[in-house]
Amino acid sequence: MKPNYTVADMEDQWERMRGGDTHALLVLYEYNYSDLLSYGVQLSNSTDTAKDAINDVFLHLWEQHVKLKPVKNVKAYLFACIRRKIFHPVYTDKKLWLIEEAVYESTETSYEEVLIAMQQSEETRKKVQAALEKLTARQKELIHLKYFKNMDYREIELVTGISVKTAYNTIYNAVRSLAEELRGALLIIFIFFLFFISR
Amino acid sequence: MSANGCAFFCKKQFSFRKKKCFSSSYYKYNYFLCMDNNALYSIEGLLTNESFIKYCQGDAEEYAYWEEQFNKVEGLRDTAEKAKQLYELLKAEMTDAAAETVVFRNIIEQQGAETPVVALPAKRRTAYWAAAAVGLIIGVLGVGIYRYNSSVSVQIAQQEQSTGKRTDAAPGRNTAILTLADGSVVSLDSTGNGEITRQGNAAIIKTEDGRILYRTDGKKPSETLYNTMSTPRGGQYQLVLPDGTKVWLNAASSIRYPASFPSDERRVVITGEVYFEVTAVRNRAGKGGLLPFIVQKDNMQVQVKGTHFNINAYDDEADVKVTLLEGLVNVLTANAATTEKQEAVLMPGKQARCGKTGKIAVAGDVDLDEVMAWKNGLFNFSNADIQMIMRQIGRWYDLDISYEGTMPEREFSGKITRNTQLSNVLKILEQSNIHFRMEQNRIIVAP
Repeated sequence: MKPNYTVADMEDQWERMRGGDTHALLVLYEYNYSDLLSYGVQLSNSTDTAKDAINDVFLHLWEQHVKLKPVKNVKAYLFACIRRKIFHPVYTDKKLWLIEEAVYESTETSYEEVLIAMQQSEETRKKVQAALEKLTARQKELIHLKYFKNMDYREIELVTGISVKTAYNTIYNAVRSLAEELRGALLIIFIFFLFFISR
Repeated sequence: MSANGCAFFCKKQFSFRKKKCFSSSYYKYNYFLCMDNNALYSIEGLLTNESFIKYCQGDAEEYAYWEEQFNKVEGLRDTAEKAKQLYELLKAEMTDAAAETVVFRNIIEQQGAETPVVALPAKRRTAYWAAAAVGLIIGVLGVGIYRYNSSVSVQIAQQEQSTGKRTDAAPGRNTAILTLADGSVVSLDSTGNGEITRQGNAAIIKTEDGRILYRTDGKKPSETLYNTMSTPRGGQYQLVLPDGTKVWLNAASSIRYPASFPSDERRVVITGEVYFEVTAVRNRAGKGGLLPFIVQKDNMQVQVKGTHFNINAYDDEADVKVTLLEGLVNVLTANAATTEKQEAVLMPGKQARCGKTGKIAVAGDVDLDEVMAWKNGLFNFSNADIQMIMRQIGRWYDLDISYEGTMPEREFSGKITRNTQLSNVLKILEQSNIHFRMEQNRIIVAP
């Protein structure tokens, strides 16, 4: 079970990271990873893009850790960094990374907007988690093999012994159930997505 | 099921079969995809369609096809967009943060290997060896189990102190000698930090904490150049091999390795005691899989892919002991005379003991703390005899050992930091009625 860090705990880890503590860097990375990934996917509609953005942001922070300033709300700061990375991937003025306010300026977004985006993103993530929770163990396993492990139905049959037809039907029903659960949420993301693209 | 939808879908499959020659099962499972457009163009219809999933994965050919469909079929683009969102959200949700963190840790450590000044933070640097410098005596060594009760107790050490003879020895330190392919020798405690020398296309860099890193320019090496890193008695050292594998050398140990590894295997030759944290490297030459890492010592070899293990292969110890902490290793031996081969697969926590004849015995009841004590800056013995303890002391304090009289068959258990003067260690051993005196570079052990 992952520990429950408060905003103050994260600020503490941030300070350690500024002092050159690799462990603190990895704590911040691991603790925020899933939320940042979900947010990145909601912005970019691509898991690969979101993953790259997270790694780029953390690598950059680590390279610059000596120059970083204290940050009050680390998570919001990271959210703003991810958004900035996704929408302005070739932003080269490194100085902008160093001050909390500058990150918000550079993403043309206020701190409050970042907090709202963070909240919306986490709500969407909770809905996805809840929808996944409603699936059976077998449905979850097959969804995992199909979309995460990129297996085709024949490979799934080889690995699990579940026939191509059964696997297909199981995934079909699972996706229908997920789509049903998330119909509203997907629409929101879609609007959300267009809104930021248009900026 | 409408004939129209079926005809459309099967036609598409037909065109794909001609182009890419899909396996029969691909064709088969799409057979029951013949459904009406409402079902096909639903989110679940799209996300069970192999072609659409490939589109989601970024396949260029599928992209062209689906773009065409989006323009043809009204409302399809919208549904497809949602399907792709669901697909990506599911993928994100199934991503394991802990696993990604391990990958990221490797990235920054790799970066550390390239730019040691920036990426090796001060706190981390000291962590490895400084563990040795922290505590004083952690446990009491020599809470002996007395098999034969010996009652002789003469305090020899005290007598010698008044005569001005050598009575103590300093513990070992971080020092090693690097012998390059051309035979030139670099003493690593006397050189400054930064690039010490170049070899082929690799720069050899010494970091502030004394570790040795190889920075290759990424070009293929013109020839394989071998280096040997060796520690003297009373020395220990840590280095990072060109592939990122971390190596800890105990006293009187060595490792021979190429300045850059060839693409088919990573092979090193060792003596003494070495702890490895092998980096998993993808095998670019073969199809997938991981590049083997092979540790050789005489007629024994250990084959691994990415794992943590310790090899104790001192010539004055009876067996070569391979102890696995993480992952999986293969231990292979060959009898020098008969060339008979033996092989053992080790699981974590197990130890392979390889005799001089190549016989392998696997022990499951290994005290990992004891095996790894040296790397953690400790002497740690459980039920060890005095000879075994003295062999370790001799290597670490650079002293020869000899015995006078018949040593009682006792077993000792306890821990003590290695970063302590010899006299402290001997004092504790003397508590259990074993006595020592020093003559030049020799400790004489007497009952």
